[in-house]
Amino acid sequence: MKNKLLIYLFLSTIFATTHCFAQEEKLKKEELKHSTIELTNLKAFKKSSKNWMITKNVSINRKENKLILSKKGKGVLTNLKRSKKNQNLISKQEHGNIELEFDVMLSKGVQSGIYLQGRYKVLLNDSWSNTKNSIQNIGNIEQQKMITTQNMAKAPGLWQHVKIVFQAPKFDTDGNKIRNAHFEEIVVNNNLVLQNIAILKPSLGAIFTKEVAMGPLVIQATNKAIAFKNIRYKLNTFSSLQPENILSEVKKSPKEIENTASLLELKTIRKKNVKTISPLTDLKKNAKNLIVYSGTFNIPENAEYLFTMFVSGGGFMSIGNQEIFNFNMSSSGHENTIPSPQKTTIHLKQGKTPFVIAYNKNSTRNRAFELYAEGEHLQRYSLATYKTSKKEKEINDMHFIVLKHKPDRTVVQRSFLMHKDYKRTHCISVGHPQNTNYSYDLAVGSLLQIWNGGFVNATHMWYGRGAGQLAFPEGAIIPFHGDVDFAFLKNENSIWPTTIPEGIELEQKGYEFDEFKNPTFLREINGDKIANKFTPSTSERKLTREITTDSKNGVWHKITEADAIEILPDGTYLILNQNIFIDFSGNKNIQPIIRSKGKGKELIIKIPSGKQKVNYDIIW
Amino acid sequence: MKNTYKHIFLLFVLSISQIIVAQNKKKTLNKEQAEKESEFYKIVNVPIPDDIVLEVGGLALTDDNKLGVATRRGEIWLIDKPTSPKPTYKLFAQGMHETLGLAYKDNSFFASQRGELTQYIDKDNDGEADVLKTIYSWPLSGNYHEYSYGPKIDKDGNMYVHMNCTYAGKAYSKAKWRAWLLKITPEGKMTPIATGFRGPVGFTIAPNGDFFYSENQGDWIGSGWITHVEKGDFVGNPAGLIWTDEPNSPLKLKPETIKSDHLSMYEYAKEVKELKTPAVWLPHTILGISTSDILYDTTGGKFGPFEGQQLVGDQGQSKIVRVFSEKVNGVYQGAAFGFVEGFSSGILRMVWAKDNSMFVGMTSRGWGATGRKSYGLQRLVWTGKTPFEIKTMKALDDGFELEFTKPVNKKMAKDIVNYKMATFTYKYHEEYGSPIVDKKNAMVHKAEVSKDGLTVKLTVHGMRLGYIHQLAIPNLTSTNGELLLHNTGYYTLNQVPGGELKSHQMTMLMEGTKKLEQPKRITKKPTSWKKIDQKITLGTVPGLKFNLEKIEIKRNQKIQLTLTNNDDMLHNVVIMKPGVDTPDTVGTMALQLGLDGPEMNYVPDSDLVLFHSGIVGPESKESIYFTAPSTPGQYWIVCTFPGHSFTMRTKLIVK
Repeated sequence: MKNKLLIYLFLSTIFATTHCFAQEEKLKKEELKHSTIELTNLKAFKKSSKNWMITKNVSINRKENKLILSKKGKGVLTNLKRSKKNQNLISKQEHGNIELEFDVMLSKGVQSGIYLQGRYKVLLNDSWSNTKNSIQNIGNIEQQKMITTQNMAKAPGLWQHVKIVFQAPKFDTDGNKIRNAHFEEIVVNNNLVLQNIAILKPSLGAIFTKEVAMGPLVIQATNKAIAFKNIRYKLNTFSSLQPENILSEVKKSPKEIENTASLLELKTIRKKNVKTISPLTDLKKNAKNLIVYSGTFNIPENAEYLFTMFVSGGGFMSIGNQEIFNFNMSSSGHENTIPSPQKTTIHLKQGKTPFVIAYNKNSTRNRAFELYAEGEHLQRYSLATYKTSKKEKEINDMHFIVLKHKPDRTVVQRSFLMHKDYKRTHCISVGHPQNTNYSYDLAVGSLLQIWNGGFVNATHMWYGRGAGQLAFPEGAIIPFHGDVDFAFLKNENSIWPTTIPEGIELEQKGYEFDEFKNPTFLREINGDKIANKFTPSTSERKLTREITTDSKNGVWHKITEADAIEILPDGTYLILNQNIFIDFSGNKNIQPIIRSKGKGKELIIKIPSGKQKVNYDIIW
Repeated sequence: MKNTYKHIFLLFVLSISQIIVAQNKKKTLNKEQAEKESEFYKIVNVPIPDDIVLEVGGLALTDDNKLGVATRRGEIWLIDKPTSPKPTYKLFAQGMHETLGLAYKDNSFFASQRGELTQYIDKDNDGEADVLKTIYSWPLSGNYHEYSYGPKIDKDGNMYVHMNCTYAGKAYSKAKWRAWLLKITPEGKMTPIATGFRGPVGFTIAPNGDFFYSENQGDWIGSGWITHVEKGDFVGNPAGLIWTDEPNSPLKLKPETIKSDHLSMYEYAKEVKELKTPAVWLPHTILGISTSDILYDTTGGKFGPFEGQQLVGDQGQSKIVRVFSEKVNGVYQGAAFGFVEGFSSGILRMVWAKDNSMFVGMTSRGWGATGRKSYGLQRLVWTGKTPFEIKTMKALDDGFELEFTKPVNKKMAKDIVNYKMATFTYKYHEEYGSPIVDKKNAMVHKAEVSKDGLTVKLTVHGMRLGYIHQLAIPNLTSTNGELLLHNTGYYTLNQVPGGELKSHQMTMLMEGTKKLEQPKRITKKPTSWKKIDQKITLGTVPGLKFNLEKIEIKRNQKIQLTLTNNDDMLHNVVIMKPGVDTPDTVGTMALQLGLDGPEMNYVPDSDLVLFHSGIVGPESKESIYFTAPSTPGQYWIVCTFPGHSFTMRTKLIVK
């Protein structure tokens, strides 16, 4: 008996450990550990007014424009409780350089903010209705210069993701400021809205006026509702791996590189002691040689470090005796695809460690070499310095033929598009003057993605031979499922087809423009007529999908799929992970069905036979 | 007073810029030739507003005399008063995916996009398309090379679209019907017609309803050509044959059947009945390098003396050549001649204007062209003067009958010494392009001139069926002393009248099979070298450029230079002496090698040439070895493939 129990315990421990280990492994490749502000209670904050509380979930009543508690529990910080005096919420922890990320939900019209070091404010305003780029947009900094940002706000009641990379002011030993506080980047809903802004002095409303090296996070008091969750951060105590004794060697290009040893054994043509790793400057455009840098890092602490390499050609890196990058190094390598960043994490011990970095420009394409290092307390920074000409940079960025909106009409552009890592060939992107955009697959008959922001980057279509023929949206996209939008199901439990089923005749009929050049897409499925149009609104950011059908036996439509779908008090559907609202209230005779799909949900409707019209709003 | 002069000067400049001959004389490859041609056919610019990127993909004239222009950026522009000095442009449609053709019928436009054939209808007559109707859509694999051209519309309203092959190192057909010619009814019913296409940029329906298309050199395609296409034909590149299993395929030929046996197409066609050989070959680099549109002269004599003949555009060499064709024993064949060169960019499309001038639509983005502009629109206008040219060349069973545009000097025309003839062919194999093979001299045995001096009957020894016959008459003049504007023609002999070749065969005067020696090309490391001082790799980037602007070497060093060709065309490297004009000079000499070009790797025998490589195909490389010159200076590394030398050059700095 005892033995069996022991064996059971033993086995379950193994299982538990390997399971945890597997999770950690996955995390290892993608990103570094962050610290989190646990929102199980208010212990992370100094005592404040009674309106601040912890709950499980908050949602919006869109009719009354109020945030309401939707689930009791833990994980969400909010100020929904009534209180006579609303006070700021101040963290106990103080920070210097910090990389901060969180999700925030705003109520309609709220004006709040978060003060880095209690001094430098990032606006958390409900700017969803702003039509122009303004200084009041969410993510902007409260500052002295009139800097406007693009409005990347989502509708009140939707969780919005904010990422701030901040550098605290630097002082010398006498306490004099030698460097201003600095916002490296501010990203709102995956769109970069600000970059490299220096702040001369604390913002209006800051609770401290003197600038210092460390300060708390402060969430501004507000009498309108606001909620936070998933607050995580990295304190970036260190700024560099301090490479020293760097020797650069130009070597003969190899057939293949197996490891560091064989790389270092290659014949050296010339060598030089250098202060920086600059392969694009140190190696001539001559493609036959490669350049190797060897030196020592001063690893600041025992921790995980993440390295990212982006190369056109071959790249190699090893630290200590661990090889972390080795690709395309053989002299015959050349790629036809757009090079994408390679990432890897590695655990390093504090102290001096040798490194080897090599670049082999064996591709006849553009030369590019970017190498970044990041650590648990080390801010991401570029290990390599490089100067490219303006023209070279433009080409490497492939961002100089950009299509813009027109003020009084919709614009369209057909192209290839990437959707969930697949290339789709019969696509059209549509951009409304209100900066609402979407892409549609004409062959499959499927809404692919929506986004807020500029129209599309057409450089990959019209520069040189346009090898990709891809257009890229000028804003962070919200993807849709990409399966056929319309199908014939036997019943409401039939699986939604992911490819065009046998025996179904799909005919593309093209599209027609209205007076504003807004297209209506026409198609036929087994002779049933289906029309789709996506109309913007001038009052808020939404697309109204107008579906017109003429079918013999009715047709099913999949509105969207998601990790989870909630029905809000006013009947709006909240689609999680897409983070959008679907307002179906305009259709009295059709009831949407939420059904399971694997671990997630689908939102589908059945459109009756005959001539039908279905309209619903997609709001984000 | 001063102001008046200023005004006059400005007016002068402005008016010149409207009607000026647009040939940029510095950039034209053969300046003298272009100048001669302009006496008879003038090139005139059609002004394009600065903010319109008019990369022409299609041209069509509307019923109310507006010129519709479809562009590679997916726009259709309508140009009002297109032949006037001040045309106005209006955007008719935008947002399409690469419209590479345009047709106008029943008050609407038709243009093929990458993935579909579309009809563009202006319902409310406001000058903008409101309805873009999908007539027929076809699958794509996502490869950049899957261009879709068309439509051309026949008299019954059927539309024809041409599918360029997929290209990934060589030609493939990675989506259904790539490398095919498709017929589509206005109701959207599709019938596959023929396959074997690689780069079928030009397609035309002759006045009698027959189909002709133009092809681009590539794998299996020795040189560009014009082929008569019929339903069920296989015209050369096997990539499209993977779809012959489809129930509606008009031929059942399988790709495995086609073997790369190095026979000529003509010989192979005797074994493979579906294989349709060209009607007229266009010898590579002489009469083009990337053949594009075909336009019949249907002006009824208002465009000069070549009524009924085909005018064929070329993208790479920015010129138009002329093709005379005839049907012998039911088979099309004929002769090709030069016509007009010096256009501003790469020619893609040609259509007639109402005034019988020719609109020439151009783009060269991605490939480069002799005409250095990225895009353009010009008109070719007959000045009314008739050039002295070989108007037609017809096959006899023992020779050729030539018609001239003006009476010939009879004494010179009778003298057989004035005629040079040779026959040659191209290999039919899976490699990219072909050198000229099996070249033999032929001999004009007798030349009989008609009474009116307009016709000459040549009796020829050494004609060969299935071969291209080169005829050159460089010294012949007309009765009033004019030399031939184009004195060389190339006749593709598929058939002879009567069916039996009666030309005496040549037993003597054979072209010697001496092997070409090129001592300046060293492809093996010399055994005397103990080491190589510097190894250099030179690559290609799209748009006819090398990837390095300059290379530095030390004098007397031992150098290994490797050319890595990552492009989808042929290239070479030639190291030349210093001099600002040297690349242009050697480039011109390379072009003038004519038929000998390929064999000589396009490297002329000249003191300006120090070292060179052979022709390097796509995805290939070649290393050459040389000792750097002992005199420092700025030398050159240039690709002398015809048309490339302008942009494909790297400075070789010898220190």
